[in-house]
Amino acid sequence: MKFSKSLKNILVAGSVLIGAASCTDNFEELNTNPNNPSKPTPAQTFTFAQLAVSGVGHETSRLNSLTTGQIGMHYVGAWGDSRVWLTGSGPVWVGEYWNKSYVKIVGNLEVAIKDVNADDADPAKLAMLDVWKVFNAHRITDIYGHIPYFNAGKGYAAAEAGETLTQDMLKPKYDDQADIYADMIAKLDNAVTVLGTAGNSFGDADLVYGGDHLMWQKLANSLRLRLASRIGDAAKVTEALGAPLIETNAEIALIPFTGEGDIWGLASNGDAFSFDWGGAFPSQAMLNAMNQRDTDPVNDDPRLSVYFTNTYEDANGDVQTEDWFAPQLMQGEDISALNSSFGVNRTNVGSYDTPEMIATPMEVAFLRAEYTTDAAMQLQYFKDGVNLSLEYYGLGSDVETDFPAFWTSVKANFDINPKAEILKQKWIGLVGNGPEAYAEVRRNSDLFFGTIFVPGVDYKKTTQGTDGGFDDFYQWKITYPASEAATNYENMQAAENMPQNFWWTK
Amino acid sequence: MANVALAQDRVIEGVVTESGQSDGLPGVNVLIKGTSVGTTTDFNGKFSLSVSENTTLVFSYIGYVTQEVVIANQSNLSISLDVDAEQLEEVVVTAFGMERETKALGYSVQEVKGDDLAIAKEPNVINNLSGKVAGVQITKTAAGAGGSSRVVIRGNSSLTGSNQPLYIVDGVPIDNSSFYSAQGSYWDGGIDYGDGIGDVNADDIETLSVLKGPAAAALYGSRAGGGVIVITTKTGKKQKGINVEYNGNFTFEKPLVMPSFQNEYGVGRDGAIPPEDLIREPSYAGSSWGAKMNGQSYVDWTGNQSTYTAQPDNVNDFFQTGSTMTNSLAVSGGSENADFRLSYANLQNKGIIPTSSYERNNLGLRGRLRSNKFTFDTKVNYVNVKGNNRPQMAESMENPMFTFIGMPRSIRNSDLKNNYLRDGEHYNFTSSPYVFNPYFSINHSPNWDEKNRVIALGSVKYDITDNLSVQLRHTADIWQHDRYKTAPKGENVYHAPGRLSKDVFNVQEQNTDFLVNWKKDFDNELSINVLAGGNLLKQKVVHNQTIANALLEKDWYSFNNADGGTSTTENLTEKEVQSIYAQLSVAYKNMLFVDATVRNDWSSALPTHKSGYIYPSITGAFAFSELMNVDESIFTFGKIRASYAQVGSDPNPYSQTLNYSVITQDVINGQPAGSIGNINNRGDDNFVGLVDPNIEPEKTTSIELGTNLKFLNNRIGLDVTYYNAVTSNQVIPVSLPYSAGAHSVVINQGSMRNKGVEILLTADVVKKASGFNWNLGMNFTKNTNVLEELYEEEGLTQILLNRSARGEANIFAEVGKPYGEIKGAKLARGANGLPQLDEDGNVMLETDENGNGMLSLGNITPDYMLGLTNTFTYKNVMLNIVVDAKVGGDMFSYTNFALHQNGNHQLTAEQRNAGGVKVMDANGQEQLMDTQEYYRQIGTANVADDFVKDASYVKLREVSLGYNLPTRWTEKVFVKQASISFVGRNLMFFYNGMDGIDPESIVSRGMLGIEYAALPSTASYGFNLNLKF
Repeated sequence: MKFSKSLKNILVAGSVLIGAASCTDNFEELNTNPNNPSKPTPAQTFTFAQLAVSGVGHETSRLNSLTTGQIGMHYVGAWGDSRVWLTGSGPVWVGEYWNKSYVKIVGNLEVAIKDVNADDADPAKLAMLDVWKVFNAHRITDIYGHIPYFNAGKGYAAAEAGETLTQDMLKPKYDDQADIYADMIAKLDNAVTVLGTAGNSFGDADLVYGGDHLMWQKLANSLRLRLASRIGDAAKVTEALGAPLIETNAEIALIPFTGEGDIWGLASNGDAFSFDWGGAFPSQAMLNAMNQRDTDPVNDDPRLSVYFTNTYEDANGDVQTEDWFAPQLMQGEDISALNSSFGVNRTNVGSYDTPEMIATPMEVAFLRAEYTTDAAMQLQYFKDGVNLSLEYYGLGSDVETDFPAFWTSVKANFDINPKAEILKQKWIGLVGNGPEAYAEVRRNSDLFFGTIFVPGVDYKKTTQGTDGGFDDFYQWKITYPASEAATNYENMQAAENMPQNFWWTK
Repeated sequence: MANVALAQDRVIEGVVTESGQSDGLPGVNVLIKGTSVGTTTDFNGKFSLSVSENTTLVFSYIGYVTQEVVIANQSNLSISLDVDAEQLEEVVVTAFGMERETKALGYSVQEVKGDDLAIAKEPNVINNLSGKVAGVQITKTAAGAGGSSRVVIRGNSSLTGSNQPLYIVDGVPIDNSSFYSAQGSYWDGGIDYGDGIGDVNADDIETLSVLKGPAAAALYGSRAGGGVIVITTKTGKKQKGINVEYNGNFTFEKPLVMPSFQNEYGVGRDGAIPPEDLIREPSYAGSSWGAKMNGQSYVDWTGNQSTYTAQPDNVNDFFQTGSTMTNSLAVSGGSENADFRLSYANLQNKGIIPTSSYERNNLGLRGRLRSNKFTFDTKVNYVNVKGNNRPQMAESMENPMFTFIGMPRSIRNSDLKNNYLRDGEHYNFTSSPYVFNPYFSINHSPNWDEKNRVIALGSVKYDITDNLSVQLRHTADIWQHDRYKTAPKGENVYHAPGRLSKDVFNVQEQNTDFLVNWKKDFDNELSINVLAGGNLLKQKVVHNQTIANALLEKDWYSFNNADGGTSTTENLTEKEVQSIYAQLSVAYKNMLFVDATVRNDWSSALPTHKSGYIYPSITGAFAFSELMNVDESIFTFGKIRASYAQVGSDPNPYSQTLNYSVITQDVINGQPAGSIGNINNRGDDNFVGLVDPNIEPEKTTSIELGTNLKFLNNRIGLDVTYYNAVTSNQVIPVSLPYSAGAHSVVINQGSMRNKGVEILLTADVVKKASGFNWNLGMNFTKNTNVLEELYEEEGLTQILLNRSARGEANIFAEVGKPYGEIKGAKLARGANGLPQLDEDGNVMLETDENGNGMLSLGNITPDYMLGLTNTFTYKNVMLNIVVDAKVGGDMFSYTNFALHQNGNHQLTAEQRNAGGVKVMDANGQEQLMDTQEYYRQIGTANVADDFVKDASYVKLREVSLGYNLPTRWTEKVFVKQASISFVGRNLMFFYNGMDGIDPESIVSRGMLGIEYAALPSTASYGFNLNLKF
């Protein structure tokens, strides 16, 4: 019939149309946004992830000198309550570093790792990216305890690959710190193996070592030593001590900020922000540790005037000098009593171009001292540690010859309690590295609070408690940031309900 | 078709009229029966034809019963045709420009004739639609002539989309982008440069059809989410000779409503006149909390001795009477096989702000040719728009209203005018750097722009057989807009070194489509029409911006005056959409009609979806009156209709793509750093957003039921529609925990429902033979909008749509509420509704049970809308009155908020006179609180609750009184037809819920609900002259 024939014609035409209409091959290209740069290479992303550990303006200072640097007993604060470790203005600020680092560091590393895997899956590149991932992650878990780790920062990498965004990615679960540490050490084990042969990956994009594999092996192992000492894994410590480590200042791992641009730029150390605004001052504990608890300036730690200043302008505009043993505010003290004579020496500490320390030879030497059973070696390693720290600050490399009075005083302390003095000198050498100082103080809190620091002299106990247990008033970890409570509440709650067994829990 | 001349031919003449009427009917076909020989009646209904003995003449005309008359000996005939109610079917333009009988449609379409839109003209033609079409809410921005309009059909359906309809002109989708410069932000409101529909010449329009719901718009698929407006322009008609038509429209504009300023207290604070050295201090000079103005002697801001007197007109006097002059000329002609129309229109507008102007030139040429079986149609439109000193909105320093809401009531306008420069620098009644003397900004901070646009169409149709035709068409809409903005050197605190910026938008939309049309009638009972076609759409936008961030010399705005060079950026956006579609229409016994359509779209903005998206619809109509045996003079026609349809939304290009950044500035050793997301040069993560790779476009599914009824031989028409539409797959951004590695993710979640009723009633209330007619048209719209769900599992029950600068009013889409819940701070009140003070004597804010202070203050969605058109004609005189009303729908007036804060509002004077503001103290006692202090506290806490009001209004939208000059006069000057009308638009409010503000004063078409230092809207009145040669 005419009707059905016409209809058939139309249906045939229609199917030809449908067939022909699938010429959408150029759609991908058409939908590529030409106004934005195309995807950065893993090398460029690696550079950014390195710069971002010292963040931009606020977030690093809030992590470092304004919070961990204070709870780590290096500094006292000028804003709000100096008893930051008690009333916790810390969490509000530190939260910003969590927010930024998960996006800028973890998010970028996940994308770089995925891209390298898709490209040539070079084990050396992957190992270096993993080492950086571990470096960032350990800082966060050491402050917060159980944190999102295995599922963290995966959103962008998945969306890029066109994968479905799972609930685990959009609302990451929190992982047990023990599991996180196990994985971090496993990654470092792998890195030490893979990066043991000479080679170079990422070249100049790597701001730390210019891509040198063997140096990265040393960094990976030094971090492994650090983490193993945190969890008290003696076997792992021994293993690390037997592999290449960062042992000289030429091998130091740091981000070499140049101070170009202004405080808000990537080339500047963001920690300087707090000092620009007069936010942190040397604490009483720090000064007492460095002035040998006496009024004699001859035996003072030569790093005192390197780290800090003791001059100030009085009401008439004249420059006055304060004695290093003059009282300073101690942790737990009322802010109105602040003696603002002492400040930070911006030339060496807390300036725009102050490098960000990743891992130092001083730290390795002190760890050797801490773990050796040989008394003579212990003294040697201890002296190495002091020398390395002094050498870094241009104070020569032989403390016994250059600063005999200081050495005599320090050695005397060492003879009484070697471990305490080892820890104390390491703690002094860590100035500028708040998270590490915070970790150290908690790792051996029984020695720090009571022996190394004298209560009532170096730090004030809470007015609420009595001379009771330390737990009354010390901030063992920071509470989770408000952003997690707002957007990831269930998982955060679940983490708070997990057993609070952390490496610093005694 | 030969003219057969018989012997004994003679000429017969006559006149044809409608029975019961005295006017002649033009255009009636007069044919010799059995032949194609004949003629048509002229303007006066007269005809003359050569006939022979015993010829039968057939008189036919659409809408009338055909008459046959056998010619005997008459030489003169007087024919009276009866109205054929059944045949007087409206034909409306539907999708793809197809003309269909309304009888056959299963969905609601409302058509407005072009002439109805062109009498009392507004520069943007779409505004003339206000109050005339059920279901359509039209809101102008506060930008005057040249501004854009927010057009919402059947309620807002998308949370993140624009909710604007698709505009089609002669089958060309025209680009309606405005690239509003500041995206409706309130800090720098920017300039509204108008939209695409605003470029159309109203005199070119033949008809405008509104395809309201998905059923009507289904053939437009993914572009039809907001409805479709189909415009067809005039073509030449088959006629003798050339038709020339001139239309002149001349109107004046004056502000329609001004804020309620007080005129009792003058500049100062704490009830005192400020001393000479403080008179320009911002904390004194920005408010009228001074003394009562009694003519006291004092030194004013100009440094001169003056008297402290009220200046009730100091704001009014700044504005001049605006004027709009439109001249348009159209020449057309046609024969059996060809027609053309050439039109030109010039519009010149002077705004109420001195130096502000808008000029538009439209040139159009349309030609059609039929030859053999081919039909060619071409059209070219060229539009040139020039703007000068367009009004700047909101908190822009160049917005005079922004200055005026903070100007004390004692400031003289003449002082402002004569003292805007001092020592060559900007001088003002206040030394605040954030406010300009308006006379300074109109002279020294200009803006100007020019737009050139070409819309072109070329189509060829081939009639393969009588039943089958195929059409191929290409259309293009190409425009370029150059926009210049300036900041005077040393005077603008935000751009202290001076600034010149040029934004150039190059926009192109090209459509290529083909359409196959096949129809077949079977045994006079069944008729089938099949349409099939495809479309290729390409869109491209290039945005170039050149900025000189510092200028060398003052008042020289040229890039040659740049200090330190210029910076340029270029942004490109491209999209392509491929579509195929088909429609099957079946009509049974001209009584039952069923249409089914389907369309599939593949969009480059969603490349991951290889199969594209499919949009189906099915509609049915049953003209039940055909079955009934009822007296047609009572119940003439009845139809019920039902439809189901799905349409979609078109995602923006690159919306699925992920962003990255590469930083090369201030890095270490020159090593570039790259990152996910939008990172600035400082390494700050501005925005790191994910998009669900499986994201889909929004989808609207709608059912519609309706009925069309006609009574009394079509004298009364009633059209009732009920619709229920759900827009699901809402594309919304959801905040992520940072541990996910990003700030937010865009996903499909949530659905919004719009359901409602539209009623259209038309009636020829009076129709007398004497020539007096009264025609009434009423439309009523009630749309109920509710956000049904958002993202329950994540506890997301609301998202922020927009907010005023300091968060006084925040507009949310909240689950369970209509679109646009206004939230903000609310005062805690005592039992009798008075503000409650605390022990310290300060006002308190109310919080809900969760301690939340962001409370509901209102909602922007109206309850219902009503439009009423009355047309009276008596012989040659016509009076047309349009009233439209919007009931419900709230609005926050920042102007009123600021006027109260500054003591400039009438109420603050009354309160001061009464001794203060009535409040409830902490002990429950009624007290008076110092007025200045009360409003200072309100201002500091950004409390909006007293300033969110019901923005209902009833407006006298249009009045036109016209007179058709008698032809016997006009013929003397070779004018076939002439009419002159007095016209007025937006003449007055019968009711206005907003105090001193026109509810149609939104900042941008992106969002209703917030008025922010809006320029007064204007009433326009003047006259219109129409001449046909």
